[in-house]
Amino acid sequence: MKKIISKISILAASALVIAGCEAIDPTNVVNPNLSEDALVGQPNSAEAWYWGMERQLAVTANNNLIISEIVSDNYVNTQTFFNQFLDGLNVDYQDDDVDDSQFHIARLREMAVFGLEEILPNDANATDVQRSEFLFFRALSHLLAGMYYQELPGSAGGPVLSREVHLDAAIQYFTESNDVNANVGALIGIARAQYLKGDAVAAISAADAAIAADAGAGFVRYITFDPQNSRGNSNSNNYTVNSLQDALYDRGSFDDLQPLPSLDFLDPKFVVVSGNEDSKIPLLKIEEAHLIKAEAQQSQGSDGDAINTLTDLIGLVATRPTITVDDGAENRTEREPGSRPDSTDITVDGMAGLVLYRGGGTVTIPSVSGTSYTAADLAGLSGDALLDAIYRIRQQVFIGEGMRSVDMGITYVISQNEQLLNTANVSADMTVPDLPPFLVSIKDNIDAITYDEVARTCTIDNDITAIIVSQKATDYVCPFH
Amino acid sequence: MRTTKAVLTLLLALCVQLGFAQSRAVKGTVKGPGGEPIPGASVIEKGTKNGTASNAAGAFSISVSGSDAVLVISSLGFETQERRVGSDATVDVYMKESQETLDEVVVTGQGVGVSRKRISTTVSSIDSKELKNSPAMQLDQLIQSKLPNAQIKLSSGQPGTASIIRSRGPVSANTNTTPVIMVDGIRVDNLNSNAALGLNTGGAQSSAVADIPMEDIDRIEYIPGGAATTLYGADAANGVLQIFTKRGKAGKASVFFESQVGQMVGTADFLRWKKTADIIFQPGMVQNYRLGFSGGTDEFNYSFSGSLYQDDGFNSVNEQVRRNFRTTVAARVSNRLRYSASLAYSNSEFTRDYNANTSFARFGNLEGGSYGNLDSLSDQEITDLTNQLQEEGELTNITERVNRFNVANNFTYDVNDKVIISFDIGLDSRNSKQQELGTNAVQISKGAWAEGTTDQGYIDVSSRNFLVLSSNLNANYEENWGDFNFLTTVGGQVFRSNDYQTAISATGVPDGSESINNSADQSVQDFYNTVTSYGIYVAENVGWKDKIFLDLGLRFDGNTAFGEEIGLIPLLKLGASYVISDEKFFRDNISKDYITLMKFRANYGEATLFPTPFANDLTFAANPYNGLQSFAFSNPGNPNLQSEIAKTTEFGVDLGLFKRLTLSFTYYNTITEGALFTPPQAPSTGQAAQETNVGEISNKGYEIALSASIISNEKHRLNGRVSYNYNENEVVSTGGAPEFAVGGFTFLGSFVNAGQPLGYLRGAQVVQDANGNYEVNRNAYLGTTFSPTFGTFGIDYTWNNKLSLFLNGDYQFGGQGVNVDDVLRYFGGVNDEDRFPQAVIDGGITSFFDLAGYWVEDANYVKVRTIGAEYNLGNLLDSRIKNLRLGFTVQNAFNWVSSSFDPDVTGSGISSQGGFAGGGFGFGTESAPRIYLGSLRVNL
Repeated sequence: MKKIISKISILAASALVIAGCEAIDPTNVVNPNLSEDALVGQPNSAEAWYWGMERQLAVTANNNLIISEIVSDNYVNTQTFFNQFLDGLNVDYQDDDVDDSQFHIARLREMAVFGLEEILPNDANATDVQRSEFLFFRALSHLLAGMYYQELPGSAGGPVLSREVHLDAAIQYFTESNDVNANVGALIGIARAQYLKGDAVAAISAADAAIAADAGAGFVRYITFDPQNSRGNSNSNNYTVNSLQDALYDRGSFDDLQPLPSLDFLDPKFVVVSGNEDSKIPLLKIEEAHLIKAEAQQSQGSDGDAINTLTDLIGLVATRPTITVDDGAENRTEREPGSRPDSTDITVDGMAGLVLYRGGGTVTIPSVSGTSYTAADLAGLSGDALLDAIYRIRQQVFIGEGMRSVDMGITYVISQNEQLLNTANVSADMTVPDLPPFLVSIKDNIDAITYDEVARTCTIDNDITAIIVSQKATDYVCPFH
Repeated sequence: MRTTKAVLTLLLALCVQLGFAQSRAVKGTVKGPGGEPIPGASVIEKGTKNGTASNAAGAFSISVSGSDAVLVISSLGFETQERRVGSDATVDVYMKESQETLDEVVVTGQGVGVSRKRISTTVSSIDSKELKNSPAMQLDQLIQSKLPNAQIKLSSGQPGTASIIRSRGPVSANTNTTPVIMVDGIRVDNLNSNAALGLNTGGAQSSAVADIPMEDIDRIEYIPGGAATTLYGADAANGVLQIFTKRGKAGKASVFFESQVGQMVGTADFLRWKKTADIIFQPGMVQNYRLGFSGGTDEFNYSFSGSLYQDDGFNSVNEQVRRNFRTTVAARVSNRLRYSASLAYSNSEFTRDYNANTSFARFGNLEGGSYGNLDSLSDQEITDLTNQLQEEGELTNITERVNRFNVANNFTYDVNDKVIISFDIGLDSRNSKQQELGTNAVQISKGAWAEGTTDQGYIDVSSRNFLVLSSNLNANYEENWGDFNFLTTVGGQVFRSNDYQTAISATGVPDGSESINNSADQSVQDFYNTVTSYGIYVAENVGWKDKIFLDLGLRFDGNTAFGEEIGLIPLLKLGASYVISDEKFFRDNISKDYITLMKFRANYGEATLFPTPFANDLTFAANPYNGLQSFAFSNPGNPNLQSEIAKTTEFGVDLGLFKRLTLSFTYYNTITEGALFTPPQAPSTGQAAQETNVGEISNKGYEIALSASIISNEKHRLNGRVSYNYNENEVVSTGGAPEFAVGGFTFLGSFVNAGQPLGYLRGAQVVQDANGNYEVNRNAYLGTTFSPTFGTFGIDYTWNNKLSLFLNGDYQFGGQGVNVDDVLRYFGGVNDEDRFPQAVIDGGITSFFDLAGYWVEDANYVKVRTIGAEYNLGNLLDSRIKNLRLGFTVQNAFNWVSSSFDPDVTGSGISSQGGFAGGGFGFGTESAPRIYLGSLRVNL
């Protein structure tokens, strides 16, 4: 018996030794991630939460800029990696990219709200600058909702708000942000919201306020990426590579957006800065105040004032930085080299100088704003011709910044996931897109071109700017008209 | 001189015979069907207690009463033989494999060894002979097409890649269908997908199943998920695969040496262009050397086996080296305590090419039409392209190294004749390191950067250290009471796994450096995942007259991945089996010549899959962002998170017919309750998806396995087997959650939705309206990647116990897959002819999103996986060589498929870190290569 007991003891001891290598209690498992207590109430949590929102802004941009550029006439998608529905103006409530777009707009808002309601009040070191920033991001979320959607819930699982209500909320929070800590970005944000609402007087006022506050400094607020610390794939909440840069410039994952040939000289606006740094993308810049002001002036019949404002703008654009880059790998396109205009001798709609040759060393591209327009081009313009110039300049200045689709009057719809999970507030009719019929009729050819490689000529099949101007009286475009 | 000796011997024999009246000695050898010695066979003189057992060389010696004596020779797994001694002094016996396996002892699913007769569920097994016939170097390849009720598909021909192993259909949307894998009762890492931080080089998924040490495997048992796995709890709903290793035998030490040499050739069967093979495939040499010995006494035995494997791959990039060894010991510590242990080590090193979802993929670019129609390229263009891709291949540097240890210890204590206590404890430690050297040169060669770029080089390193410690304790009590027999098992089990991963990325690395230290910047991330699972159970197997058995079990399962509101989960098992053919009334009416066996079985059981560790907790993240701390929401948390429970009801019958056929039929119906789904939250919440027990999944179907001894005589033996499995899978409910993707692409993905099979293919389908106009039906059902019908087959023939020929394969019908390569070809304008009706294209439907349905094809196949021959030269050099065998095998020999791509291969469709894997997206990666191997095996 004694022998048995001793043997059992040996057995048990060996078991303990081996199992105990891990811990005495093998069920003691520690989650290495942060609990809520590790965050809320901790000193300097507001600072870290602020950077979290800047990071989320990069992710939100990744989930909105590319689809906006694809759905517009700015870029055609020649590969598989990015959305193909939207390239043909198929706005579908089941489209994952549309779902991701609104998810990340909401995430920006929810982070701002959590920052304002939970983080700030519990951080002894919180500052007004941080409060102002949290308000700015809250406003920005509503602004993006108002830009890209006819209607969208304005809170987690909450009621659906019209774009006007979103824009009013944006104005309210931008104003509060500026009140807490004066910032030009908030003023430009207000100007954009007023522009989208179609209030020319308020828009001019906001634009003037922004220009005055900028005081010639050439304000730009950027979206900053972090490719070095990006995680997961492009759908991940932690993907902080500049996806648009990836689409425009990088090669490696079937990503190949090609610009409308008339915008060739502006592409790629974003390139790899270094192995661990991607280009920043302008979020808000003072050029917009000038453009809004000029358009408002034009709509009020003050064509001369509008031309003066645009001349100021052209002067400002000329001061903006450029990047010089070897874009030899681009090949216009990666898939079918030479199938699109790729040399300086090619004219686009009869205009020379819009297409660059990339095979012979480096090219120089504006990295904030660029335009082919000179002050001389504006001389004598009036009425629709001036409006046409404004929209062409807008297209050039804002390329890659997600504005062209807004200018074209394209909005997305509430996604199926929101409809299924927010049944109390989302009805089926909210998932049906309301698209400009003048674009729907040409939806497969919005960025189509006709290129004669032998004759060295390229024609843009549908002049979208001309269509915008011709449709200025509709509710879809030209808010001041 | 020789004559004199013979005469003397004869005289001596006569004297002995006279001296001992009728009693005389008989010698002999017990051999298997292939002539291999069978040690430990029982040799008994019929009607007496006089008996002995064969030694390690299969030899025996017995003194019998006379010429009329009959020897009864029996051994597990073989038909019992009776031989009249007659005047022979030597009786050599060739055993026939048993077609009746009811007395075979199986371990899996029971905690202790128990005869098949007693259990109400099915267990398939592969014995050492079948294993020996396969030249496979990794476990999933080894068992492919050998288990009647499991299907194994290798996702790529690249080394070390994942497979999809399934039997009764997918029971979970949260995990893949890979079963729990145990070696000598100890759990091993069965991650059959890329790790969370695994290197992403396109599509190749690394797998821990690929490097499970393969030395000295004696036997593999597999039970499909369901009632049989209840006692395993934790994550056994996908079944359990148990590997048992060899033990040395008492007697003189035996030594074997084996060498295999051959060639590996890229499989061109599925290529769009034959020229793809000409451009990048290169036959590579395969060599494998194995040495082992074993021996021991009745008190102590040992065995050792080691191998060295190397192949040059089937292209200029892939190379693979594997080094393996295993040592086992077993000792009788005392009269009551037995101890056995196995220690194995494996080391794998291989190189990989870029794959699938990256435009760096050489194979993917060729087959995806990046270079246009290869048939229309001029000879010069083909030469240039070959040189270009050769250069890209030479610059490619993706490596993976794995070091792995398995340790298993088993203690068995015979408390008395009725009570046995068994205790297993052991571990599996797997350390892997993947590295990609993305030099400037390789990126320039692939067109990613302009010539002259020097600051874009990068090194990505992914490391994973995985350790699982596991331990089982069982007490087994057997008692007879009248006609009743009780087998009571009480046990407990605990395992803890630690998974620690790091991913390091260095950028701005100058060419020439393989160290991340030489770089402009570095970043790192880690992943830590720990889980402990524990359970206690009691099982009762009651037998009545050795004919009717009741099988009852109850387990309580706990897991650290459960939410705080969840305690222990009870799991129930109830079963019964009835061997009606042992009944007198049955035997009175039906001769054993017609029905040798008839056993009915039925059972109900619950098995689980536990949730993702830490998915229960509400967490925030502090992300690095340009050198700053940045907070964000992370996991929303779920205090009610618990295992999904697969509840299976099954019944079946086992039949033995005409002494030649065995037929097994099983019907099963499994409902996964509280299925773990991670559906999206409403976008307006801005919160990440949360794992939650909201789903319900149904799997039902049947399994039929037939094996036959077609010819069986001294000269010829021909055995065949075939199985047929049917599975119907459906997501019964998503619990109100919206449809969500579990794989694939935006234009055509694998989705989860009520009323559809799990991971069904969803995409646009072009349909004709009443007026004959074409319109696009968005998000239509396009197919299922889990073929409802599948099975395996095999045949082996032995001539004169010398020559054996064998073949095995598998098939599937009724499933679909996507030819993604052709989608890519569509972008280059070189898609397959007649892919779409011209009228559809003319009708203006040209977006590949809208055309998605046309790329979905029926993925039926019949594949002969292994075909081979072996010649046994037998005893040589006066028995100094016990046995010498020469063999030749072809692996992945023949394919017949309905699709224009390989249905096995999937460049997408396997999620990361153990997630759902439906496969079915054929693109961008090579099929498993064809391997021709000659082998020589010597036993000393």
